[in-house]
Amino acid sequence: MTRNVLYRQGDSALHRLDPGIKLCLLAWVACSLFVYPWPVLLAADLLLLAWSASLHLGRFVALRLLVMAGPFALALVIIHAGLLPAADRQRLAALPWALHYSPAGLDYALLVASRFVTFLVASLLFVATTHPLALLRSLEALGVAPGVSYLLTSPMLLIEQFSRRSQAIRDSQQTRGMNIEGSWLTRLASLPSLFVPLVTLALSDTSERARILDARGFRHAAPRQQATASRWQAYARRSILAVAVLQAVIKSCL
Amino acid sequence: MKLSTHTLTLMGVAVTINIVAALIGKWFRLPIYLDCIGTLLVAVLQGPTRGAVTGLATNLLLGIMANPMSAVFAPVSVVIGLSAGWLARMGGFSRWWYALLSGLLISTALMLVAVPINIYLFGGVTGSGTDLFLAWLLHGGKSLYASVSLTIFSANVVDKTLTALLVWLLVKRLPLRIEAQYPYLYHSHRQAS
Repeated sequence: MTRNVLYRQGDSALHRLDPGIKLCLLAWVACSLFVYPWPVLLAADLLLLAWSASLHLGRFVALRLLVMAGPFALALVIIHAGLLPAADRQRLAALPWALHYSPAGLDYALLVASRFVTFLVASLLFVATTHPLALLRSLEALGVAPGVSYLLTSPMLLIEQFSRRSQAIRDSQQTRGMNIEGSWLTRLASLPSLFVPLVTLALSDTSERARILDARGFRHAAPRQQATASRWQAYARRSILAVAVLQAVIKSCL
Repeated sequence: MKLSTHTLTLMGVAVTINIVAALIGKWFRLPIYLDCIGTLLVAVLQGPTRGAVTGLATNLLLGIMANPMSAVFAPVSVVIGLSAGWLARMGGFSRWWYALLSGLLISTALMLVAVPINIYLFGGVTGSGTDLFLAWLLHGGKSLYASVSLTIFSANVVDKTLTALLVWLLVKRLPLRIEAQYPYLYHSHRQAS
């Protein structure tokens, strides 16, 4: 499972912080995106990046930011500042050739790009310091139904098994003549010979899995709320969410 | 909505299929995602709400595992599951050409949700190769809304149509002992028989 997650092991304060509180902090960041102008968000991005570096996650966050936000920000600027028709279009004086842009479009592109970057950096920090199973345990402690926890946990445990199974099916079907190297039409026609056995096998297993789960009585697990969710954590979560709502209300009133 | 253990297990398996199918798509070097095959399968086997829950769980899980932005597009997966389930109820997966039409309708339905999310949150841009198509449409004088709609539809129509056809084939080839576990499959078999 570890190959498929963005979680990075560590012992920082952020790693140790309750996943429920981190989720509330992420919700606060999401609300803040629509409250503050882009220079404030950009400053926040720099602070978050510096924080990532102090947690030894700087390279991890910066690389993903470059791959995911780089092309996005570039396309935003080209489309909103350069291509969309606008009344305020003017020539970019710094260049020797005629290149026109819209200052309002550029402002909008920077706002959307900074919102994207802020949310991306914050959520990368969240996923890099929160193990998915710890998050699900925390949600369960908050009263989330065992069925929901199972739905989100079981794929994490099944991905490796299914990946191995699909590789095995691919290899055996290739020995029987399945072609994944030919023209696109040949490759397309080969898709069912991999998917049909994979899905049929998966559906065959389903009843057995369900029977085992029922036998274990997984829906009747004792609530673990008292053990994991302390009172101060509940106060912290409520306070963070209250601040998020309050700033959104103030922004809408101004 | 109280889900049986069997349904929960099926949805967990379908979420895994969604994630693994994206990997399989890369092996075949095809320009399609195939990442909602499990969602469509559950919608056809168990109905729209279960299909929607499978889509929602896939995007939330991908959001905490691989790409945080996946979670933002969770409503799109919900719409895919709902529309596929409703289409299955109308016999939309009973013949291959119905499945083809269902793929087209699912692409149209998802566009209704994906376009507002894309324009409001991302300014209509995705940061992928489809932005070149978007830029070309905008340069040709189309409005942002029309250009983003066309871009999203064209990026999804082939993928969703092929996925729907694949699901039709999967359902058609299911062994009888598995078919018997899913009464909702009656809708996909009644016109075929």
